[in-house]
Amino acid sequence: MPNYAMVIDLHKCAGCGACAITCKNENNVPEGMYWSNYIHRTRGKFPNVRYEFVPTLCNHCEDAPCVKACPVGAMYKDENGLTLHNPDKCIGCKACVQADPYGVIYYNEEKPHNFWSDKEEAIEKGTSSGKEVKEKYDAPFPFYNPDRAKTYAGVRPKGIVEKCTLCDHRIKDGDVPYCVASCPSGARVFGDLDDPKSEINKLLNKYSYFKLGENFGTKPKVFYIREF
Amino acid sequence: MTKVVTSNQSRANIYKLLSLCYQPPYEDLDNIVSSLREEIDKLPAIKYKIGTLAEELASCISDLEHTKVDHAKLFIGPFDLLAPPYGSIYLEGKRKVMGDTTMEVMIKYQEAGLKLDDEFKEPPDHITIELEFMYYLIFKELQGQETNEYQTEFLINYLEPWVGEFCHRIIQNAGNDFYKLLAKITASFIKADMKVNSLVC
Amino acid sequence: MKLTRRSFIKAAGATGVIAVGATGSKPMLQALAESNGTEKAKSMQGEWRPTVCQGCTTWCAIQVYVVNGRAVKVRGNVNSKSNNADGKVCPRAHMSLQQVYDPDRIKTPMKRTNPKKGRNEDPKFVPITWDEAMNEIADRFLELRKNNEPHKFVLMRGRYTYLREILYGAFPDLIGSPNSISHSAICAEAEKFGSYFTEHNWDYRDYDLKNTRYVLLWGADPLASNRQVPQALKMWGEVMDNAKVAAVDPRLSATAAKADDWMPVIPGEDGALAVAMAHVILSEGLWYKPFVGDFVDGVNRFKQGATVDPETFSEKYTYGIVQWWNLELKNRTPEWAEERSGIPAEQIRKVARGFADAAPRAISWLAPGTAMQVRGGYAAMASHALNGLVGSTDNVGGAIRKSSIPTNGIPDLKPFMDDIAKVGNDHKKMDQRGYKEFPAMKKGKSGGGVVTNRLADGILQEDPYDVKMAIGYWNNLPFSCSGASRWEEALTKLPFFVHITTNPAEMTMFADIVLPAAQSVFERLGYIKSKAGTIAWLAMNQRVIDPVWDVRVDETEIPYMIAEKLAEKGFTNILDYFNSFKDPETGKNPANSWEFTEHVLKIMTQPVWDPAIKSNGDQFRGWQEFKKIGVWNSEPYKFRNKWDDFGTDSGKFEFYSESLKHALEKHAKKHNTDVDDIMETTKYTARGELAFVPHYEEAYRWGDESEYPYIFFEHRSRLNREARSANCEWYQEFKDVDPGDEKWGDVAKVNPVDAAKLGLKSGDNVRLTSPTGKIECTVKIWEGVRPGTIAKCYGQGHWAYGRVAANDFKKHMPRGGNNNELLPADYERLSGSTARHGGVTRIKVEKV
Repeated sequence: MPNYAMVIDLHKCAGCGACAITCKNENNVPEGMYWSNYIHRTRGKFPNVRYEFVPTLCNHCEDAPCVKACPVGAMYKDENGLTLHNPDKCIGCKACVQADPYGVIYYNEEKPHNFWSDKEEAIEKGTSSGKEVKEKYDAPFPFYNPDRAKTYAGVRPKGIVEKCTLCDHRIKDGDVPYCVASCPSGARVFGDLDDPKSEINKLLNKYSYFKLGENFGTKPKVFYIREF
Repeated sequence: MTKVVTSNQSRANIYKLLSLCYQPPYEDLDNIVSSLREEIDKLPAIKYKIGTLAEELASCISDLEHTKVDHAKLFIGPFDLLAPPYGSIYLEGKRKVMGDTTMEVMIKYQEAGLKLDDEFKEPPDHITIELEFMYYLIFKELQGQETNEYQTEFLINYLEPWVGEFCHRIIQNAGNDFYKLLAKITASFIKADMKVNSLVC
Repeated sequence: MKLTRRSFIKAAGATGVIAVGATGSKPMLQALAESNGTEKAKSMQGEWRPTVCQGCTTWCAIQVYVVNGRAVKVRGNVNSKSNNADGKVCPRAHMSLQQVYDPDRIKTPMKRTNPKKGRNEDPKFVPITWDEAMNEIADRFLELRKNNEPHKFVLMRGRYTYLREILYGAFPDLIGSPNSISHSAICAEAEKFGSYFTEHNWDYRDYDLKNTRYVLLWGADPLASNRQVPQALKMWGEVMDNAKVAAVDPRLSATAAKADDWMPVIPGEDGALAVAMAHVILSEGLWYKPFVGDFVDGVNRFKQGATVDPETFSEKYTYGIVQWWNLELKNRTPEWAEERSGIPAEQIRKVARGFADAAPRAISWLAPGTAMQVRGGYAAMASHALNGLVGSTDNVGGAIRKSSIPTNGIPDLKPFMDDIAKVGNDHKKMDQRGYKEFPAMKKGKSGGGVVTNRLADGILQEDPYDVKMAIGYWNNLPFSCSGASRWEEALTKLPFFVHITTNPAEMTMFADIVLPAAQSVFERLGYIKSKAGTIAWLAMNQRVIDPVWDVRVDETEIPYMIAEKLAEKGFTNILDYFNSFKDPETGKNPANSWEFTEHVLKIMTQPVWDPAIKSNGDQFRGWQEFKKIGVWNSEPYKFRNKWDDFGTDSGKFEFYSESLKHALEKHAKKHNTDVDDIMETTKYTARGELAFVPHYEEAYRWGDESEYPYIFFEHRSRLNREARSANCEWYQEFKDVDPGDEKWGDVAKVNPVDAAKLGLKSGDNVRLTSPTGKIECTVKIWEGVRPGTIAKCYGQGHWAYGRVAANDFKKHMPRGGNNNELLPADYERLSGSTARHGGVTRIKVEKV
């Protein structure tokens, strides 16, 4: 069985945010949640200033604290090394959110994609409303991606958590996660950590790397090489 | 071999050979057409309907260049196609290649474990592809891997609904007899096959 | 195994049956292929359909993933051969999904019922039918024509496809108005000025990033904006591996953040850096001799302060190197430039040397930041001239042009132009181009280019005459033009204004009739021409989903419908002309506006799709195939084709611009004056021959330093779809991908030193005031700007456009403040360009 992981080449990363935007697109992620996210900071004093940008996502830790914390087995490690979430089992207790040191698990406080239930019109009868647009289509919202529903709730309901699945629905079909497919800089590489010939292992052998929160003891599987 | 197997072999082959006939014509057209006639001869119910046409077809491809020109005018362009070979054009009543039925057809191929060949650059609802798909389904049935239902479903929902009008446009617009005859054979064969087929299941 | 047709028949012959029946045998497939297990399950519920993204001026060929009639995803068109191919595209393109399905889109034609106009007036729009709208518009046209004043109609164009030939080109001509006013001068005409008056190229350049060894950016931020963003995003890792990057930018831009050298120039002083770098390159003998030539005896006489005898230098492909040195460069030392630009002399030297050492694979990348300044024309020339010094122009690894893209024009309209129209067309244009103070010398011709932003003054001053009617499309001038309040006044003054738009934009709020436009990515037809990474392309905007609302294509359908209405009322010329557009395949005339649109598109693009016409790129089997692929790619660019004749007056790459001299003298003569007077009128300080060479001009700023202590400058967002994406949730949620910016916010970036002086902390609300306007926004304390300057991104500050873009749409309350309400309307007058960069104004900052 493969042990999936990701390498992010910060030298190639241009900080454009396409990963984060397209993740929302692929996974029908509601406003305010960021399965794919980033950290940025500006250091130094003018004119000697450095800006850094580090794309982040669930680290799919080998030793995942969120899995350990989940009382009902809704958060689990699958046979491919992914940290996945079963919405049917989830009771919304948020123990995983507490346990997750990376802040990548989100709880649905409200009905997601409420924007598309709104009846307000900017110009009465001249412009539309979220609700009216939504009702034109047979989908939870107009650009809803049905492929997401193959392995997970297409949209996660109120009262449960949700998180990055490394696009398990795409991996299953032999595809790469959408953030990898849509990174215009080619900064993201996805592969099998247990396969010595995989592209990610080639990169990890070639460059020194770091992981986020290595001292957490979670054995994260998102590796960063080179500098922004 | 049982009778069903034999007849299915011929059905598969006819679909396949018809599929080849709608591709741009080359020197091997003779062979294709004579094989087609042989296969039709093996199916009495079909032979009764189109055996004569198939014989005529075999005798009218003397001028390959003419056939090529005719093929281009009917199916390729550059100017408006006299008989566009795409299902969606007929099924959706407008000139819109890659319509929704096109997409559905593609899904059918995928469900059957197929994809479009990279070198055959035509939309999924091209006559050649749909005919070849029928060939494939029957082939798989012969191997015991698919049931007959798929063929029927595909025929009823995707192929038969447009082939009639398509063939009619060929008959109206073809410059010489080859494609007129081919169209007649295609239309009659599919009609007949649908009947036979639906009786079978 | 791939079976050929022949082997299929052979197998049939051998077995008697054709490849069926035998256990384990494989089906013989040609059109289909068995996919492997993974592909079999592949999530192909939908289909990728080709179209175009016009979220910036890269104009990428893209594909849209359509599932059950819904657009679900966007990617780069996999058939594109430029460097932005392989299915990748920049973050902007994805946001278009939230544009097409924006609930705040106009869904029906509307009519104003409140005759009073103004930002604080509710237009009280009511829905009307398309027929009612056309009826009213046609009546207005007929009224103008009846009174022999069709020229009092103005067509204001914004973003466009090349189907503009109809609404912007033919339509006003046949009505009888010369007033087709494009947006081009708010885009970047001053940039084109730089490459035109050095090497006769009135266009944006392409860059051979693959082969370059040095990239010197002039106010360019290619990882975020300017042109060719996907190519830069894709190539930058490789560029940084192979080349050095220096970014001249007053702000730590996305690209500066990754550069080897950031040169945070004092806004507007870019020209000092450019001429100082030229000085270093010449005085240190670093110019590229195979292109520029050398001293006859090989001894470098370019010594600081020394005048050089032109006879001692033998030039090859360039013209006027010695004059340039003598007139401008000889004392432009890095130390001199340090005083003006704020950049250390040593850094200037280092960058100049690095750049020249990489010659000829060195790019000097000219962009609006350096060019669109009141005195930016010469800075544009100077920075572009560096490509001449290192021989990188039109060369491998350098700044290149685009391969030609074959297209057809539209049929001759002269036979359909009546006398009323002919007389109307002879009037002057409303944007005052060619006036003494607005030379707008596009391609060297006085008044040859547009002065977009001046149109507001033309309307207000009724100079050259009054305007009675206007149509605007794909534009939002009271938002996108500096001195925005003038536009609000001008639009208020217009007696009848029709806005064709997707969203209720600021401009829409002044309209008498509003017409819903087809969204450019998903719903329209059109075509564009663009280039990146040595490949030029032509791609088509296509209708990949059924339109969400009852919309029409702005450039073709709407003029057709107006023409139908005019014909109904007795004026048939325009419809007769439109109906003469035959389908090139069938020879049929159009029966309706959509067919007309298709015919225009097919006619204009025929040279690329017609298999009978050989093109310098992809060949197609016909229209249907071209539609399916969606993009035509040229062959790769051929380098050094221009070296033997650049097309300038001298035929050479001009450091002393005979072309500019000629153009300026003609303009001066037209106004019975001399070039010195023109220089003065256009706010330039140069006199005499200095006007003909790239030279330093001190930055021009509005506002007195004592009252307005801070230099304000603005920049672009990597998420702006030309200020049309602010109503997208994703735009707001990810606004912080612009370095220094905040999600859902609009921040003025202030250096900590200034913040301490002003007693400000991040998150404080402030009012920024310039001599011509004021806005409110939030403070962000940030080290990426120079003390004494304040930077703010363009794009927020919408008081209309939709309920996400505006803080409160109904109350017209903006989210932040629009920079253009702060910036004065000023110009780089030689090109007609709006001058929005270079710290054109000073401001004061007050906490509110």
